[in-house]
Amino acid sequence: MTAKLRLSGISKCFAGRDAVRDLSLTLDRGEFLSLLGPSGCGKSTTLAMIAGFITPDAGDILVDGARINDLSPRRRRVGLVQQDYAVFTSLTVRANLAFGLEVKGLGRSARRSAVDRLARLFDLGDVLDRRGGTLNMSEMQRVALARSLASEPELLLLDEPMSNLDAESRARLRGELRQLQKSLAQTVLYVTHDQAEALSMSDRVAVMRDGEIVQVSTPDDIYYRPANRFVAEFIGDPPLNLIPCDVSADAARMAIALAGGAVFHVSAAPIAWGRQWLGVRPHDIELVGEAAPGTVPALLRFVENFGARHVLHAEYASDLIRIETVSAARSIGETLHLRFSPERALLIDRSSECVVPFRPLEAAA
Amino acid sequence: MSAVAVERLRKTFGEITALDDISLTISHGEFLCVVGRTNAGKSTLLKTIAGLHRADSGRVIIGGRDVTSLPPHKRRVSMLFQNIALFPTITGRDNIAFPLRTANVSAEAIDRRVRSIAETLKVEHVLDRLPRTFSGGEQQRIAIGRAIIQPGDLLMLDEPLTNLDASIRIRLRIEFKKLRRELAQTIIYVTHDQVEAMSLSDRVAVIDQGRIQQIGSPDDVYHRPLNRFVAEFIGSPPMNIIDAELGEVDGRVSLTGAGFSLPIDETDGWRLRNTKLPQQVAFGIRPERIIVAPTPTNEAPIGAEILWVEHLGNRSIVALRMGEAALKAVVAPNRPLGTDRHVWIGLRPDPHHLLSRETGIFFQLAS
Repeated sequence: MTAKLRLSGISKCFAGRDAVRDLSLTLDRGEFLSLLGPSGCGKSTTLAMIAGFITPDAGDILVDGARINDLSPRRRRVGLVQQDYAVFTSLTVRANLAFGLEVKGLGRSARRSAVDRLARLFDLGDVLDRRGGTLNMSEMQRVALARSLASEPELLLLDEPMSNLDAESRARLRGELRQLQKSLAQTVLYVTHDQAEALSMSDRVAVMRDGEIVQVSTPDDIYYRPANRFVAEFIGDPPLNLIPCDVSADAARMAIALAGGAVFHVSAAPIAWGRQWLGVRPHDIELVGEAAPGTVPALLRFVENFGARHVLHAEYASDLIRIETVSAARSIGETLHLRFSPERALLIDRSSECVVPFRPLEAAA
Repeated sequence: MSAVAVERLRKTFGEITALDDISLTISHGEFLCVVGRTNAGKSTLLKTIAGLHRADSGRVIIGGRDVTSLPPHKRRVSMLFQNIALFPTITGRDNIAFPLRTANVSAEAIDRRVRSIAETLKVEHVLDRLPRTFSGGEQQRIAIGRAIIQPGDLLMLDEPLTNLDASIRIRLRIEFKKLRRELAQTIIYVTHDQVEAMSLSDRVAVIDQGRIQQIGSPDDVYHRPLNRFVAEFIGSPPMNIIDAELGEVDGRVSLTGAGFSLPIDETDGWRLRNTKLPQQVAFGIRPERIIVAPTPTNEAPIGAEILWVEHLGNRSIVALRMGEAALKAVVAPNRPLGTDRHVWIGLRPDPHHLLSRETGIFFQLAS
């Protein structure tokens, strides 16, 4: 039976360095939650504590309300899949799948029917009698997942399970893995450094940095309403533009002025006047045919052509700004006219690096 | 004269043919990406050009010299591998300078060269530190610095970004693109990631099963793929390939199949009539060319079912079922698709994207 997980104030210190600091998190039954962050942020350590391979210095790990801190790894009903899959290459797929069941003490016929059910579920029927070593990456991944689910874990922990796959297989397997998880209503904690995986598969994403959770929310919130500069810049390909802006008082409201003459009027927001940042996603910048009130000029330096979309890199406010567009016909050295819209822009406090909420009062003046 | 020419290169390992008659030329200062799946032959090609593998047959010509029988160090090429191996006990500065220390270059000249490279690569701040204190991106850039300090005739990079975190990879890809404009170097770059290949290259060589499937500009391989492999490998999600029957419906050339009938524009229909094509064909359609609407419209008249949606922030991928065909469409972020699984879609096939079901090769149309 798939379960609920609660981490309450768990910490782990290695050689005087905090790997995980006072981390609390709850996963609902059947929820897919991703721990997303750069290498060394503590996400794999967190997973290893839940699996029982590392003992937390402090805090509780609760599965359906029961504390499991003191259970040995094999007594925790947790399935774990890591980067290297650990599929037995000299055993057949059938033997790989039956392995966990044998350990559990299941009889021969019960094992056989459980293996058949898993093979159907993971579309492994055709390769059941092949040896692990002859499988391709996608088959290998499905065998590893199927085996981890064979013992009907309360919780499935996935530690960067796709990082050894090539880009093509990764993109394809994302959707398949998510559909499978939904159909099984399996509680999953998924560790990744890849924002595309976290955004596309999860019910919620927990962004981690330096052993702590910076923000936990839906993929939409993480992308459009990041809590601070770190989350805003970590998420997004191409990355967010961080544009210097000047905040000033303007009667009962505030004005945000950008280099090149664009000004937004916004409702009063809790931010100091002076130089701040405006965060703008590359696809939220509009390209206008010619200079107009509210547009700013930028000099096109180079273009990334992805076929379906193009990313233009242009010089603006003595830095390079990224603009994502579908149309391509532009030449290097050309002056672009950009229009920013305040609706989707993020106002970021330079000293605290927090995103400050504001309400636009009118379109660019 | 080209900077590099590879002529009819073959390389086998026992039963396995890693390179099967590969020929290509690269111009001076060109950036060529070799892209393909794991085990397609990409790294073998690179190593054979570098001289780390001896070809069974064929020739390698670099800077006008036939280097086929020369050892690696006499080929005037530099190479950067996926696993960056910096010397752990010497500083960033000494790591970059290493290739010049063994050459007969004055200390002053070395210093000047390291400074200039460090500035280009933005690693001045780590020059006096040891590699273990570097971030992944800094290690990568120091390794690139070492590879370019002694400019050869050719710089080869083998999956230089593969082992890095996604967020660093995205940023370094853009750094590479910037850097590339400042280095007047002929570069071969191997990757499995078509996004990197499309972003960085002047030309892309798509390789599969030891053979070059297509060489062309990013626009060529994306918009005018020669065969099904290229069409499905370049672009994410891949080009949708759907079986259809080519025929006339109400006097118009149309593609019909289970649950759909797609009329072709008059001009294109005329060209199709003038090209000898089989009745049983397949057609390709890029995911961003599929229109998805919550209600039936003229542009989106075909009923389809949403299987799932992947939100990627800047765009969303919609997995669809249309009759017997599974399709993927790409739509703008947060576009309302309705809550119903049932939607309406529109396909406008490009007549250049008709292909043979048997051979997987795209048909060339009469002009």
